[in-house]
Amino acid sequence: MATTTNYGWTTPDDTALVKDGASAIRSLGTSVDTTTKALNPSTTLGDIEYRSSTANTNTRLGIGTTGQVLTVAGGVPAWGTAASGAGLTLVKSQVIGSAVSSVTVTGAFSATYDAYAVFLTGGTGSVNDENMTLQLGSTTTGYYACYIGAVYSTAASTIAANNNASNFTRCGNVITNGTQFSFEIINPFLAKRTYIKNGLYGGDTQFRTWGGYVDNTTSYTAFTLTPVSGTLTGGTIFIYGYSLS
Amino acid sequence: MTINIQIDDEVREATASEIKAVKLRQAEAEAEKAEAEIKAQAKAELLERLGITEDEAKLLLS
Repeated sequence: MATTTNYGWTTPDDTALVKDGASAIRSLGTSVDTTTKALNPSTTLGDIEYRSSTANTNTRLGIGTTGQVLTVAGGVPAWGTAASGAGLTLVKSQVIGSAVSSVTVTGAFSATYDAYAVFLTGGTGSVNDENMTLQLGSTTTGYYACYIGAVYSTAASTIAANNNASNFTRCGNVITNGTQFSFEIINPFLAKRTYIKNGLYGGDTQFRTWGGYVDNTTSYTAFTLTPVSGTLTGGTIFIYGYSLS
Repeated sequence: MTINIQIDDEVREATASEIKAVKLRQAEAEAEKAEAEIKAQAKAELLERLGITEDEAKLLLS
């Protein structure tokens, strides 16, 4: 019996008897059907196929779930969880209401990240060029920080410090032209000291950088901002987590 | 005078204990600010008595 080149389907020889034609066609059709099904094993919407270790036989891969990506597992395609992007991920944003004396942001820190960047943009203060305090959780002791700045008009340096204070007394500057600050906070959720790095803010008269730590191993999930006088209105606090991988 | 505080999206009137906490934070910051201003004033007065600028003082000490 003759066979086809690629799939080895049996076909009648040139000398085969006509009376055997029906049987030969049926055999060929069965072979074609079997091969086609082996190459296309899909059964369900979204299925895809990939070549298996057996020649002319594909393996069906059912559709993944929303958000999954096609990856490789054990040398074959598989659906998997998309890797989180390196860098910063927005954890939470909090819009500040109208004429509030303090803003507490809960659920800001968790085990997902060790380090965070916190920004405040926009909004105004009822008292111009006023300091803003930062308190972590309900801790009211053990805050240590140094604040170093310079006055725009004279370039004179300005220095302040917290030495076992009840909060960080100058995490930002409330100004009527648009309150803003940023700082990085390290280990707020871990049972380690919490450090502040790269604190930055600018007022109408000077610009300051600051850093410090809280002398305990408390795990924090929340923080509170309080202008030293007056109230805050508007603006948004953004908390970003630094990816661990 | 009403003092409003915000916790996440909720803005409401502060309770007595919350007002106390706000005042405590503000008092600490005010004290630190006053101390820093006293130090800055003392530094300015010293420089004036010496008749030199801050930059000149830095040069002398370097």
